[in-house]
Amino acid sequence: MQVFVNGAISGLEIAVLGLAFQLVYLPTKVFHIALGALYSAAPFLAWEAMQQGVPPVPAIFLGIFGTFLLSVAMEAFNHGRIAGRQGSFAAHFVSSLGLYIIVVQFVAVVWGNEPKVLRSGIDAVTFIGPVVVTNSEWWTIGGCGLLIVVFFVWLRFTSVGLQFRGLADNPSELALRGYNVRQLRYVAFGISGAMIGVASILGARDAGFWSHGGLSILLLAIVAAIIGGRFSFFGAVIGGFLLGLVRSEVEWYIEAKWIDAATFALLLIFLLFRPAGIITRRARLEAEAES
Amino acid sequence: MNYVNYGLHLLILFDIYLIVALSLNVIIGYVGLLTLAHAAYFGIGAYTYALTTLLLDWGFIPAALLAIVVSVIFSMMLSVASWRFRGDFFVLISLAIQVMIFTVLKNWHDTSQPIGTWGNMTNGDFGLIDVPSPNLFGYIFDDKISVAILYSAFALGAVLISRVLLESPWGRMLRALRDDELAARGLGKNVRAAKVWAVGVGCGLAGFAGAMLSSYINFVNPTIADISEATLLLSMIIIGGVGNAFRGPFFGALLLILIPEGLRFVDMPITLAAEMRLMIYGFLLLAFMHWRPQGVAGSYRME
Repeated sequence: MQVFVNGAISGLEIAVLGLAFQLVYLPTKVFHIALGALYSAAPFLAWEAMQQGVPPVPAIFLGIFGTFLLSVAMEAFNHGRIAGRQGSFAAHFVSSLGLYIIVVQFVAVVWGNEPKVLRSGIDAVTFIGPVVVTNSEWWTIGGCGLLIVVFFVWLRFTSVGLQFRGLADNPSELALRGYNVRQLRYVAFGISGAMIGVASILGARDAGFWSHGGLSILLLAIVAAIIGGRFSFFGAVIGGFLLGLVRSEVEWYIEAKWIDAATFALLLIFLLFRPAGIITRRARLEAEAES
Repeated sequence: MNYVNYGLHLLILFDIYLIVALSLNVIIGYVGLLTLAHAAYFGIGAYTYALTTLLLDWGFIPAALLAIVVSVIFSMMLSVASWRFRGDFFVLISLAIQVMIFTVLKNWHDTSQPIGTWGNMTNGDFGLIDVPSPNLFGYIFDDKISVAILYSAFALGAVLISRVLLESPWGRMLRALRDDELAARGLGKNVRAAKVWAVGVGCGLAGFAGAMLSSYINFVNPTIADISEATLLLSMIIIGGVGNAFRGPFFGALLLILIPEGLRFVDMPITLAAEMRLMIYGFLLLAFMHWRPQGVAGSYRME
């Protein structure tokens, strides 16, 4: 039971990461590798603010606001321009990789490569029958759970959310109908940056953080988004949850060192046998065949 | 004398990375497949060479040939995937292959068992030490001058092979399938076989370069195949440029060697210099994607 609960909590965090990746990938088709760098930067921004005397809660919001701004800047000065001249997937991918390297190395140069922690002392625990949940895990459950609910309420019930779904579905048609696609792209990058900031700070509170930790986490996000369903926002949540459970089981029943191999083996299995992921959508036969 | 040794050391590294750049150029520049798995094949070659020379006392040529063969066999994972996938999906598959091979190299060890046994094949993070220097026809290449001459000859051979292959009708067919796979197939070209061969040639050359590296530094550990190395190799070829048989890979390898060496002359701590080196690569990747997508000397625009 403890293994399942740990997997579910970890899955919730991966679900938010997957959602953050999918938020940019689905409407813009940009493979936002630089999200990994934002994941690395967020806790450092919060930590630095705390070192300068800012109280913890505003410092955390500063960290999240920092990743929001950075993500929007990446769209404004990089992906938006490449998209403007009909750049290919490779151009977006390589430039995002460049941004990832720049931000991560900047973080390493400024704050060093040593692991750091956001909380002090031993974490308090709660016993629920045979299951133990730490205080940080409660924060993860509450923070990630709330984020997912708020996002889907926004997506389902607001007019911007409707436009956003339109952008994800058919950006050309949305532009032809007179909607401001450029603005919606900023929304995608901004929310994605803020989401990764929240997930990163929750993770940092639980297990600490260091400058090069973002890429491996981003890879989990990508795997979650792909196995969940690459045409669906909710798929990323399902994929993240499933991945959390699988990783937890592998860690417990096999060995922790094989977790990454298991994760990518799962990705390979999905890509080869069900490339559209768990949640698929009905389409014309030829479109389904292509996907 | 120290300057001579330093220059020879740079030449040896340049020769090795030139072969890696040429190999990556075949896959990215001619087949149009953006791969992140190349460091894994570089690592497979290095480990195959190290294990066969250390455990079986094989000489350089048979061990390096086996490194090529093993890399080519593993390249099927990539080439068969390329039959069905291109673009983002192919990059993902290459990333999955990269992570899985790296994980195996890193984790296939057990301190209670001797190196090279089924339980401890790679010795994990500790790596394999005392890998023998190149040994050809009874002569051991264990000084920098002889290694530089030998490796320059290998690099020259790789340039010639690359040139002959890529400027032949086969190379033209690869360019055709890169630019329009459907049209190439429509003209009766066997694009599946072409991909298997091209990816095999690329990965085989990378495996050979891995064997050269491990025999030069007499050591190999899993960092040779980690994701940072994969990113660095990709950066090298994109900055240098792809799509021609020599110029792009040449400048890519040259920059990979010259940037860190240039930083040596700037007064900064070694760890900071390593971070700055990568940061310069990041800036170059970004700048090239915006202002020169074909790289310094490439013929194919990655946009």
